[in-house]
Amino acid sequence: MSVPGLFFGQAGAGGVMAVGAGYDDAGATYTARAKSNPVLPAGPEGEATFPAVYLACTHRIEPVDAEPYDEVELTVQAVVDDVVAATATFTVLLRAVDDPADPPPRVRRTYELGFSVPYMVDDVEWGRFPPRGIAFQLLVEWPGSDVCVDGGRVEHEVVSRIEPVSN
Amino acid sequence: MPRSTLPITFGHGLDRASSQLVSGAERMEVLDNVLLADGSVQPRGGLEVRSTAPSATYVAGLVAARTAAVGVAVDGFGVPGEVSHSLHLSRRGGDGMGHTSVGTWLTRCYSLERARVLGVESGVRIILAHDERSISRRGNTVALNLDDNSITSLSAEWARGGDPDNSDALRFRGVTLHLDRLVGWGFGTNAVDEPNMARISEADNPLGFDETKYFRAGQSGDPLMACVSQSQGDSSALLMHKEAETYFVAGSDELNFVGPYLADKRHGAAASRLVASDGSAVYTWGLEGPRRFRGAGASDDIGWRLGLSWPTTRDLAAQGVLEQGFAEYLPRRGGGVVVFVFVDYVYALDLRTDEWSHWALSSPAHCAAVLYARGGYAGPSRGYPDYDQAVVVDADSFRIEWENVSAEGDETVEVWLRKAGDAWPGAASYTRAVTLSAQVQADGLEAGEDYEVALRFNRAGQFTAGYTTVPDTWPSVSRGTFTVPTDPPPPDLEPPTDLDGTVDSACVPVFPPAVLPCIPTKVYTLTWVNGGADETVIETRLPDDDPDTGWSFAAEAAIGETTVDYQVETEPDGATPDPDGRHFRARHRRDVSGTLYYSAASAEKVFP
Repeated sequence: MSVPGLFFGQAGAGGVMAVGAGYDDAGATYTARAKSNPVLPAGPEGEATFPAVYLACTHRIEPVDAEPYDEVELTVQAVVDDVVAATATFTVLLRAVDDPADPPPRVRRTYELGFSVPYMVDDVEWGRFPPRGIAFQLLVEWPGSDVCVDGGRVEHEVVSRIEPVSN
Repeated sequence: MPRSTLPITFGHGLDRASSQLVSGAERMEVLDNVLLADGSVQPRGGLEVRSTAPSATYVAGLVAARTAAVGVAVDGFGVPGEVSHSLHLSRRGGDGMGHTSVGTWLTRCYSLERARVLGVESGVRIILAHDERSISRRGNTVALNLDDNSITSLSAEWARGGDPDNSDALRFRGVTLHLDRLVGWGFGTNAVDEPNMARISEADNPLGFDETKYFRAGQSGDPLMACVSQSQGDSSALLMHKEAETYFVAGSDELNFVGPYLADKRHGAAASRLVASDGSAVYTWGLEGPRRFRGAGASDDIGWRLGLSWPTTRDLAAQGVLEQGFAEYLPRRGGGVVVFVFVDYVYALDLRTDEWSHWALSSPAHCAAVLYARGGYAGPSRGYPDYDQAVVVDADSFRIEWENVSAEGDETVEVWLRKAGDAWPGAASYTRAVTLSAQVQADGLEAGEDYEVALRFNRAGQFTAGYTTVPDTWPSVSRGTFTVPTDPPPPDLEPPTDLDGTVDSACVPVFPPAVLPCIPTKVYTLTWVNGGADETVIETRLPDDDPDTGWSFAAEAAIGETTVDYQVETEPDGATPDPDGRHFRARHRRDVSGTLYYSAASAEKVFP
C-alpha cells in the first residue's frame, strides 16, 4: 500500500519539502491568524459591552511535573467595531511528543479571558471598563503548533437598544 | 442572574453585510496559515525539507513515479536567462527523502525565468515537457526510463517535415495521460509551432505519435494552456483549457473521438500549471479567479468565496507571479484540499467545506506533486549487494554480477566505477535489485588498466547504513576490481587436415587463447584487392562454445579448385582485424556434383 503526500519544490534552492510536516517552514516559524465573524448582541443598531471571552482550545494535555513540554502563547484581541479594543494573552503548555507513533492524548480546555479598556483623563487612568460597541470579533494569533482554536463564547451586556418612537 | 453570552465560532455568525444570521467562513476577514475543520481553526502543517540537490538554485518540476514509489525532480541550476541555466534530473524518495542525480535534460535552458516543467508517469517512464510559450526557448520533450535512467527525446520521423536536416524531436508545453495515452499540448518542432494543437499518442505506444492524430482547439494564435483528463460517469473526457476558453473531447478511441467542443467560452486556466483534479472535478485558476469544472459544461465560480482582502488575479499578474503559479491536490483525512500556490501566497480550498484559507509560506515554492511512499518500512535498505565478478564485454562496456543480500525488494542497485587511482565520478549505472547482473556502459575502458567497482542499494534515495558517498569506505563485500585485458594473444592454429568428401565444410583446428570468456575468436576470409585485404567474418565463436575441438565452418569454394586465404583473430567485437594475426591458406576443390574435397597447407604470412 502506498501513502500519498504533497510535496513542494523550493523556488530558491534545490529542496523538496513535505507539506504538512511539523509546524515550521524549513525552520522558519509562522503565525496562524484567525478572526471570527462579528456578533452583534444588540443587533446592528444597538450597543453592548464585552467584558470577557471564554475560548475553547484543543491541544495535547499539559505536562506533569518535570516533564519536557512545549509552550505556546496565544494572543487574543477583542475587535469591537473594527478596532482592536483590548488584548489578552495566555499560554498553553503542551506535553512534548516523545514518540510520534504514540502521541499524547488531546483534550479541549476552555480559557476565560477578561477584557477591559482604561478610562483616561489627562493621561491618568481613572478606571477600567469592558469594551463597548456594536459588533464584536475575536482575532486570535498563535505560532504554528498543535493547538486548535475551537471558538467559544463572548460575554456581553446590552446597554443600548432601539427605542420605539412615540408620537 | 447568569451573564448573557453569544457563541463565537470560526465559520459561523451574523454577517453584517447581508444580515444573515449564519455566514460561512468566506466572510471571515483573516484566515492566515490555518485550516478550518468542524468549526475550529487549526494551524496548517509546516514545510520540512526532506532532500536537497546540492548547488541547485530551484526545483523546476516534481513528478511522481507511483510504480517505483519515488519522485523525479527537475533541478534548475544557474541563473535563468544566463548561459549557466540548466536542468538536471534527480530521484527523490516517495517520502521526499534522499537525492540521487540521474542525468542532464537541458544543458542550456533558455527560459528567462524559473523553468516550468510538467510531467507524467507512463509505464516505467517519466515524460517531461518544458512549459515555455516560445518554441525557440522550449526544450525537447523527453522520457526518463526509470529502469536504466536513460533520457531520450520524444521523436517522430514525420516531424522533420520532409527535410532530413530538420530535427525529429517533439516539443510539447505539457503532457498528461488520457485513456492510457499520452497527450501533449502546445505542439512544436524546430520547424513547426502549433500552440493550439494537442497530439495524442498511439493506444499501445505512449511514445509513438501519428502525424494524423491531433486535436485543434479554437483560434490558432490562442495557445492551449493545459489539458486534463476528467472522469464522466463510466467514461472520460479530455478538457482542453486556454486562458479564457475551455474545450472538451469525448470518446475513447480514434473511432469515436468527438470534439473539441467549446465547453466554457469565458473561463480556462491562466497558466499551464494552475490546474488540479481531485478525481471527480477539475479546479483551475482562470483570468477571473478560481473555477470548478464538473462534466463537460461551463464551470462554476468558486472565487466569490475568497476573502476580499487577499490578492486578486490582477494583483498576482501585476506581481508577475501568475504564470509561475501552480495548483495541486493535498490528500487529507476527512477531505482533500486544493492549493493554488503563487510563489509564497497559497490559497487553500477545503473540498469538504468549500472554505478557503490563506497561507503565507516562509519558504517559497515553485512546483508540487503528490508523491507516493511505500507503506510499512520506508527507511533505507537493510541489505547490500554482494559483489561476484565483472567481465569486460567490449571496449565500452562490462558485465557485473552480484548477489542481493537482505534486500527489501524495491531497491535500485547503483554501480560505481573508477579507474584505479582516479576519483569516484558517481554512479555509472542503476539497475533494479530484482536482477543479479547488469551490463554497464563505460566508454573508453583502457586495455591493461585496473578498474574498481562498487555496489550499493538505493532505496528511494536512501542508502544502507555505512554506504556513504565515498565507496572506499563501503564494506569490502560490495566492492571489487577487474582488469581490462590487453590485446589477446593469437589463437593457436594447427594446419588444416584433409576432409573426407562427404561434408560441405572445412575443418580448421583453431583453439582460442585463454582470455576472458566474452572475447570471441573470429575466422575471416580475405579478398585481396590492390594489395590490401578485405576481411569478411565467416565464423564467430566464444571460447566456451567448443574449446577443445577444432571448429568447422562453411567453405566458400566454387566448382573446381579454389584457393582461399583465412585469418583467425581473437578480439573484441568491433575491433579491426589485426594484419599480424594468424593466417593460413587453404585450397578447396569441389567436383561437378558439388561435393567438396579439401586439401590445404598452413602458411603464416604468405600473402602479398
